[in-house]
Amino acid sequence: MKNALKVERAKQNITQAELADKVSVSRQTINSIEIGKFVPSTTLALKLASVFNTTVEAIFILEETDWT
Amino acid sequence: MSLNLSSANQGHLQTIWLKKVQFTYLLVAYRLLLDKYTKLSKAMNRLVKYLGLLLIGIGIITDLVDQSAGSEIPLLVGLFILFISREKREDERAILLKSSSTSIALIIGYGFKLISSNFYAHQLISFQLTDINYFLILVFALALSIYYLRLYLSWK
Repeated sequence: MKNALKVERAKQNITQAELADKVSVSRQTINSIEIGKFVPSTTLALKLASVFNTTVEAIFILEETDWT
Repeated sequence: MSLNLSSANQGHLQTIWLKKVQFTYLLVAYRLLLDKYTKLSKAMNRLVKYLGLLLIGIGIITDLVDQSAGSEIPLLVGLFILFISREKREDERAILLKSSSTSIALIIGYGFKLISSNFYAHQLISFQLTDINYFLILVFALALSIYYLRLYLSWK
């Protein structure tokens, strides 16, 4: 799964630590999501989308390999 | 009549206003209590973690110096305390990493126990893992090492 978390974060000019504080997770968790090592739960994905005033689908994008 | 109505209205408004003030006070009190609890809870978590580390330190020394039965208990208790202690911010990733690290540690630990027993039976090594406490020490130590490595070191 791809994600545009880094892009959205850059658009809003907020750091990983600030975003982590807003969604009540650790900075390492945000970093893991950004590099694609950790796929967040629905709740966390919705929280992230809410912070960026966008939809979950705009941040998290399914890839071909996710269907197999 | 209209005078009576307006005074009744005023009374009603006053009651609503009083209720609002009471609610605000309650909300502030609740918030203060929650803050105090959160701070206390964080301090307790830190204390528990330090206690675990202290017991691990004492346990390692005790186990090396004293070879008698039961000398491994402080180390085991320390590892257990550190294992059950909560993180500063225990989010979903931390919980997932802890559970998966525990299962990996259990598999490695039991695999090591089987192999060491087999090697001991064939007289290839001079020790075997028979004591349950040492098995648990191995599993907890492995679980904690794997967990903290995965928690703080993330690479692509």
